[in-house]
Formats: sequence, structure tokens, C-alpha cells
Amino acid sequence: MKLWRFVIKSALRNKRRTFLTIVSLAISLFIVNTLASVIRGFDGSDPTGPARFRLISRHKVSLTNPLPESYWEKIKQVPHVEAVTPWSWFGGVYKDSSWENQFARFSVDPEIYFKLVEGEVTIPEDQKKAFIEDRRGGIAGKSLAAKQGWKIGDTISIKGDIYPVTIDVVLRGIFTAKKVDDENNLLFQHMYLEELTGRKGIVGTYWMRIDSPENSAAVAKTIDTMTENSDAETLTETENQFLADFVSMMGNVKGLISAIGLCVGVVILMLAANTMAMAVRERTTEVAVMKAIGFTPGKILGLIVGESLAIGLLSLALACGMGFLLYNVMDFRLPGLWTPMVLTPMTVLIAATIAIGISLVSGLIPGISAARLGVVEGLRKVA
Amino acid sequence: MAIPFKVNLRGLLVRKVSTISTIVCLALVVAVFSTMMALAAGLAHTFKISGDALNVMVMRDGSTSEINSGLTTEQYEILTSLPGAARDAAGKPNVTGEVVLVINQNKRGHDKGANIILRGVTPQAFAVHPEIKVVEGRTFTPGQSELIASRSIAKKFQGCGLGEVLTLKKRQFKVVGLFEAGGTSKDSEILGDVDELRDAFDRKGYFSTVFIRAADPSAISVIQSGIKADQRLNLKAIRETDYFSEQTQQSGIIIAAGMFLAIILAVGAGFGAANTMYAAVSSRSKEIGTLRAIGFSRFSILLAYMTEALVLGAMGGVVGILITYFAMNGVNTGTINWQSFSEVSFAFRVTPILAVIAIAFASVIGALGGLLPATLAARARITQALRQI
Repeated sequence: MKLWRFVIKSALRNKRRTFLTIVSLAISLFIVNTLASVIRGFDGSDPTGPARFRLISRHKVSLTNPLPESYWEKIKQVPHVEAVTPWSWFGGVYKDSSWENQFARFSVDPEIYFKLVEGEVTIPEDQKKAFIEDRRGGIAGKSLAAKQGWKIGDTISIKGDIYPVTIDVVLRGIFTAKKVDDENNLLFQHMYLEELTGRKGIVGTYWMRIDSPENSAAVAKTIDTMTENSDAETLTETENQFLADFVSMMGNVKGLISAIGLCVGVVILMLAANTMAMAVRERTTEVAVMKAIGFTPGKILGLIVGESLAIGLLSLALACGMGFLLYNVMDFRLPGLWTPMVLTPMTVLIAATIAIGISLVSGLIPGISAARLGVVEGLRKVA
Repeated sequence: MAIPFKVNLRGLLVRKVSTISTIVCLALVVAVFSTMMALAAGLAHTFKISGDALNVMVMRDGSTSEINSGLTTEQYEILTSLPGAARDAAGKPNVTGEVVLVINQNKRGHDKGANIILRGVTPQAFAVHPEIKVVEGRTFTPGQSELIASRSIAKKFQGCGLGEVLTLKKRQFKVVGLFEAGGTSKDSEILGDVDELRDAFDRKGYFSTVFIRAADPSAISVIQSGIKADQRLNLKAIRETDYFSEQTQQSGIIIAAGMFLAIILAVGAGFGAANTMYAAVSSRSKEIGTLRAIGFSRFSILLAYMTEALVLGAMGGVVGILITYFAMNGVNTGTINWQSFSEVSFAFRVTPILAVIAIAFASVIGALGGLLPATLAARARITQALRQI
């Protein structure tokens, strides 16, 4: 359409203002992206992914209460369960308690662990074998190993707090994971922890893989009924549900983030509307001239909304570019956040909806009054 | 000579819509910033006031929280005999062995639960934790299946209200009293008799933590060195205040997130303010020319526009902090305490310092946004400015 050139020309007419607007909109949209990516991280795995095949059994009262090791055998016997492993949060202190040294460390059964995450976690075959064969062995995610500067063969020493022992794990492998969140984990052998604690037969949680997501409710019910009225009653949930519960413990984080998001949305609206109002106001005479030479009100409205939309889309592109560079490429994350803040099509879609919606609204308001402008009145006005 | 302040104010009023929208932008940025800070301040405040300067906490060496600590009865007996502890009228030392348990209880009106700390205490506990005051009902009777709950827990959780019954491990415990603890972390707990709770939870012979109240501030080091010197004990003894100040790390994260948001948003809002000020300058170029022609210096023009920008910013700051104050101050909320894996309740706190910081923050954004437009105005040539329509 020829009119696009007109739109671009109008937008560039006051370069400084357009520049300031685009930068401020882009920054606000960048915040929207950031907030959305934080929420995405909290929501855990996507509901259509392989996480649907995994269930987690934990103590009904709280994650801090352990389960007996005897449940391992029992859960193995449950129909539809393909593989099950103890999965205990070790906690403890690595070097010191600063945030850079906080990462997840779990004890698992190595062989079954690989069955559970088949297709999601990739590790060279020889490293996998070395991990399985070394009782003190451990594997770390690629991004964690890079952050800590670990190499294969390094000994990682972690002083326990939940468990009154210090583990000295020898790094046997480095894995990559499809879900980047998982690359922040260090895994070591369940048997090693048992050995150190004097074979107490204690397990944090059980993670299992089932044959089909449709059976998840049935499997969960079988396990929870089995342990009913025992000293350690279980609560079995899908991985997604488990993560959702975990986040809800932090309080109304989503509510807070949404409220902030709303504020940012209003800021964007104000910035965009202000600019468009200024832009149209100074062009009153011009609009009158255009009308006099035959531009229809519809076309005038279209031009103004188009200009607003162009500014909005350019800001959006800038915002997504910033987010992609900072989060996806540089892997920046806020302290205390255990999940990467990567942009996904979903987070971009949210920002795009806001950008387009607000551009339309802020273009429509001055656009309609410009479209309604009387020719004589407009020509008489001195801007 | 300076241009009267009134002129600047009038200037802001001429472009009402633009001024208002800039103020709203700045106000919202300040509101986001101050809400995060009020959240962090509230959480930090709870932890800060929670520790008692006279109390020493004794836990298993290596444990970082009461939840993963454990002491035997023998160790407890040794601790009661160490020098340095305050004593009551009967000569009994102010030492209390406590068991800290976590239960998952549904919130009122929800079928989802959250974790609460259930603390089994000895009768000495009320001397060691003087902040606990029973305000409704009565305290529990030792040897009975009775509990007292903090008022905020009673309000938030099912089965925790006065007269209600809480089923713990198939045993019925009656809530016979409600207490307040001055906004400390104890305000997020339920208390009961240590022996009854250890019995119910099969924790006989174990304590989580032993609290020793020092006779005077100098006795704290006596207690600490006494524990260190005793070969039979492999325990760590820390000040209760230190235990809680470690936990304030959590609010550090909220502050970091708040700062991150605020700084980025400030850049956005600053550009918005600059836009408004540019518009103000360019629409008034004739006025500027006139002022210069009748003898006002470039500097006073710069000053005038900077003042205008500063006022714009400060107004945004004031509106923003007022939004936060009226919407958030004192609002009760809760989060998980990662140390104990249980709920800690606290209130948003808009402090006077926060208000000053917020207004200053917005003023700086406004001033920075106004810097370039004001320079532009000051540089204007008289003849050119006057000729412009």
C-alpha cells in the first residue's frame, strides 16, 4: 500500500519524539516480557510435554517429612508404573550460602533416572556409564557446570544440613537438557547418601514414569490408598501439579507479578497515547488540508492508527530483541530464581497483544477526533 | 534573576493531558518500586524483631535451621546445667528444649494447604520468649492435648481457631487459647506441650532446638564458650538475633528484583518525561524568546525548565507513594520461609524513609528527563525563538 510510506514519513516527522517514545515503550514491553518469563518459569513444564508421563510421590504433610525406602518396592509393583526412583533433595551448603552457590542437588538411582528423563536429557554414553558405576559419582547440567567451572573428575564437596553428612561427589558426566531449567541440577547416587547416613532407609520423594498420561490419576490413587493410615501417608501428583504447589507456597507471587504487569501496561498506554495525542495535535492544519483535497475520514483515521501501530510494533521488536539477548543468549536471571527467564512464543505473544492493543487504542482516540475535524475549523487553527 | 516559580507551575497546567499522563506514568513506576520495597521491608522487619538479644539458640552442628536440627535428652540435660543462664524465682534456669514440627493445614475457604510451624515447648518457654502473650482463652496445660495458636494463624487456617480441634497424627488437639507475639515470627506458629507433641509425632527423646536465656548480655559468651568446651556436646550455639538476620537474605532477593524493575522502568518513564518536556519547550519557544529578550539569562531559563521537570517528577513520586501507602501499607501477606519450609506472615511496610527515597527517585527521573529539553530551551536564540509561530 502506497500509504505506508506516508505513515512512516509522519512518524519520522518529529524524530526525537518518535525515538523517545519507541525507547520508552520498548523498555516497558521488555518488562512485560520479563514478568511473563518469570511466571512461565514458575509454571514449570508445559502441560503437553513429557512431564505428563511423570508422577511424584511426597509425604502428605510436607516436603520436609521423609518417606521410607520400603515404598520403592511397593510403587514398582503398581500397574502402569514403568520406572521409579528415590529423588531426595540434599540441600546443604556448597562453599557458602550465597545465591551463586545455590543450585539443586538431588540423590537418585542413576539407571532409573536416565529412564525417567529419556529423550529430554542427553549425555555421552561413556559418561553415563561412569556415573552408574561409581557410587560416589555425580552428573551436572551443562549450564551449572559452566557457571561453577567444573570439569569431569572434579570433586564437589557439599556440607549437609538436612542430612548430617558431607558428600564428596566426583563429577562423572555433564548433561544437556531440553528443558533448560533442568540444567541447573547436580545429581548423585541415592546409595551413596544411604551409605553415608548409615543406611537409614529414608527417601525425600519418589519420581516415577508411567505408561500413559491418562493413567496418572489412577496410579496416584493406588499409591496414596496403599500408604493410607501408615506413618507416612503420601500425596502423589503429576510433575506439573507438584511444581505449581511449590510456587503457591511462596504466597501470592503470581498476584504480585500480575499487579506489576497491570501497572506497566497502564504506563505503556499513557506513554503511547501521550505521543499520539501530541503528534496529531500539531498536525491539525495538515489534516484539514488533506481532507480538503479529498482524503476520507476513514483514511485519515487509518493513517493515524497506522502510525501508532508502526511505533508499537517497532517497540515490540526492540523489546523482544533485548529480552532474547539478555535472557536466551546471555542467560541472565534475577537472583533467587531457579529457572531461566527465557522468552518463549507464549511470552512474546503476551507482549505482542499488549503492544498491538495499546497502539490501536492510543491511535484511535486522537484519530477519531482528527477524522471528525471540520475542514474550515482546522484550517483556521494555528498550531 | 530567577523566573518566578509560579510561571513553571502554570506551564505544567497548560498541557494538562500531557502533564497528567506523565505524572501517572511516574506514579505507577514509583508504586511498583515502593510496593516491592514495602514487601521486602515488611519481611525483613519480621525477621529483625524476631530474635531476642538475650537468647542463645543451640542446634546440631551443621544444621542451618531448626527444622533440620536435632538434640538428645542427654544433651539437653547438660545444657540446663551450664553457667550463664538466667534463673526464675525458684532457681530454675531459663532453658527450654523445643521440638519444631511442620504440619500442612488447609487455609480457610481453600482446599489447598500451607505449612505451619508447630512448636512443642516446656513451661520455661514463656520466660525465654516473653513476646508471646496469650490474648484470648488460656494457655495449654502440660500433659493435655491442648494447643495455643497465634491470632494470625487462627484467622488464616482451618481448625486453628479458638475452641476448634486440630487432628495431628490421628490425635485430637484442642485450641484453647490465642496468642500474639508482637509481629515476630512466632506470630506464624502454633504452640503446645513438648512432651505431648513429641509423643504424637513419634519424636520421643529428641529436641529440635534448645533456647538458653542469658542472665545478662555479657553471659552470652559464657554460655557459648561453655558449650564449645564441653566434649560431650557437638553443638552450635548462636545468638537468636543472628539466626534471624541470616533469614533476611530472603528479603534481599525481593529488593534486588524491585531494583531491577524500578531501574528499567525508570528509564522508560524518564524518556516519557523527556517527551513531555520537549513538547513543553517547543510549544513555548516564543515565550522563551520573550523572556530572553527582556533580560533573563540562559541559566535562569535552564533553571526554570529543570524546576518544572523536577516538580513533574516529585508529583509523580508523591502520587506513587500515596498509591502504595493506601493500597498496601499494613496489608497482611505470607510467604514461605525457605529455612523452615513453612509459612511466615508479615505486613507490607511503607516507612518514612521509603517515602523519601521514592519521591527522590521520581524527582531524579523527572530531572534527568528534563535535562536535555531544558538545555535546548536555554540555548535558543532570541531572534529565532521569537520568529517561530
